Amino acid sequence: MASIPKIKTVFSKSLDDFFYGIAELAQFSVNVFREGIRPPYEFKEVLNQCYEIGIKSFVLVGVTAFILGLVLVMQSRPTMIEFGAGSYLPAMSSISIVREIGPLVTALICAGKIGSGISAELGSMKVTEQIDAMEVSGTNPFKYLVATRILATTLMIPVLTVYADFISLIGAFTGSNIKDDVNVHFYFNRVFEALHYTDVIPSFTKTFFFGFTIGLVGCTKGYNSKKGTEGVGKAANISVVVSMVGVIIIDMVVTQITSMLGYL
Amino acid sequence: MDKTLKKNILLGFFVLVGMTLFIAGIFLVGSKNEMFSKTFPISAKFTNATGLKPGSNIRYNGVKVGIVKSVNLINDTLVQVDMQIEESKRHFILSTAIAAIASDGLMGDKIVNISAGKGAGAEVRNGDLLQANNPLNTDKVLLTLSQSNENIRVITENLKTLTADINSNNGPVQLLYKDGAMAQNLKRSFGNLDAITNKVLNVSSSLQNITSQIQHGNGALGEIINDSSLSKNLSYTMGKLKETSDALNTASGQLSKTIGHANSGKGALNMLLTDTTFSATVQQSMINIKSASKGLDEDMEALKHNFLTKGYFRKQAKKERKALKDKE
Repeated sequence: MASIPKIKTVFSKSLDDFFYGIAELAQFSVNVFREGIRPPYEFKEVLNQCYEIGIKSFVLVGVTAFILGLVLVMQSRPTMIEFGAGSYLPAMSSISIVREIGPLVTALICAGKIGSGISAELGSMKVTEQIDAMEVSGTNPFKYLVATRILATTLMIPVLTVYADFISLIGAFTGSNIKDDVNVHFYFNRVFEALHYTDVIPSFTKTFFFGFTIGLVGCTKGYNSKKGTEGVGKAANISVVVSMVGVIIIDMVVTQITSMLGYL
Repeated sequence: MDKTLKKNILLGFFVLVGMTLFIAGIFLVGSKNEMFSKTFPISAKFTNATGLKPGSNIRYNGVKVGIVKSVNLINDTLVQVDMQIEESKRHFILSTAIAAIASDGLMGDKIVNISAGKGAGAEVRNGDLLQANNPLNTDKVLLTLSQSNENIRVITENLKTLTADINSNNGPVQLLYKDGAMAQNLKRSFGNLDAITNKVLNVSSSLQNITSQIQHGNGALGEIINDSSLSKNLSYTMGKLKETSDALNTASGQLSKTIGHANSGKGALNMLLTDTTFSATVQQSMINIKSASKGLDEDMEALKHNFLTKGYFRKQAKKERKALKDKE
């Protein structure tokens, strides 16, 4: 990675840092694609990272999704009952969860847990010169460390989102049954009746972008971390913030595209 | 077992279950949206298809039978709604069926509601155009509501005036409301009215009884009304009464003439009534006649005992007895 030359500021220090960060991400993503498609492929490391990212995040994502589904219904129910729309609770909860809550919550949880983890791990390797050692030993660190992690996040976030959606729907069903007595068959019949492909496909597709963003930001910030252990902490922190903002921006863009295509 | 192998098995299970859930979800959503069932197309033309969009449900008598495929403007006044109906429901829908745009519940999405039309018809065919029942125009409803509101406003103002009149001190309703004596009088009047009504009711009941008895021929009036022979007799009597009345009328006329004649001062009757001397003479003559009659009776009795005339009287008595016997 080429280091930024010492020049006078173009706009201001913070603006220059912002634009430099964007350039760094763009350059990093180009490298990922370039290195990722070239053999040899690090399948074992990809599977390992999938395990670390997917299975080890499952409980956290699952618990959060369940609670959110439950709370969503418990919070919405009084208002919907007041407007005489209590029977629309399953439809409302399913559309909210599948379209937005499931993907976004999964992505934000993973941005916090996985993004910071990747960033800290790669940052530590960087400051302890393990990455340099790998280069010396003939292993492509970019391919082995970065491409595998980004591919793993890109593949695992959608899977985690599917789990989160279903667990959240179960949470919503539980929430409905706290005050009402709703039959499970009736509830899930209403849930799937309310859903369309236009709800499922765009929301599932955007999770790949979420995963890619989380992996990319985490790897970029960790791989480029400086100033020793202090830089590692800072890189982890920035990685969480940037990946969360990135996820929300992507969410907004995908929603806008879906709307432009007439699916909303 | 190798740790890496164990991790990979767990990862495989994790991904497989995730993908299974996803595919099952897709399948469920698809089945609800008629993606996997065999369908056939039909359409309907509406003047207004507000709220209807591709994917909206189609119900036949309340049961979901398909979805809306597309909603397209075909000219400046009509919207064509193309529908996909499940093949298994085809035999329920006849060509006379009527399509209407309705709401799924009070706050629900717009749906197409197909209902059975009048008369028998053939089973609907692919691409058939159903008869459309156009939705209620909300603007017209609002206009009617606006007129109703204006009427309500006028009525409310009238009511306001009326209640103000009631509340005013000199108003008749206020007087009635506050004047205790008037209220008492009214109460008494109503009591009397009640008593009168009861009496009228009793009278009415009695009249009803009487009428019933008359109708059944009880009592004199009943007999008169219901007995035809009595009626004839009565008619005959009435005829006779008329004749008598006529005779009396004639006699009365003659009497009137006689009295007139007497009042004119002519004849013996007028003299008897008006001349006191004549009256006294008549009275004396009557006394004399009475006295003479008594003497004649004594003479006749003496003759019955005289030997010369005794036989004659015996013969006469014998004749009378015989005549009496013959008569019996």
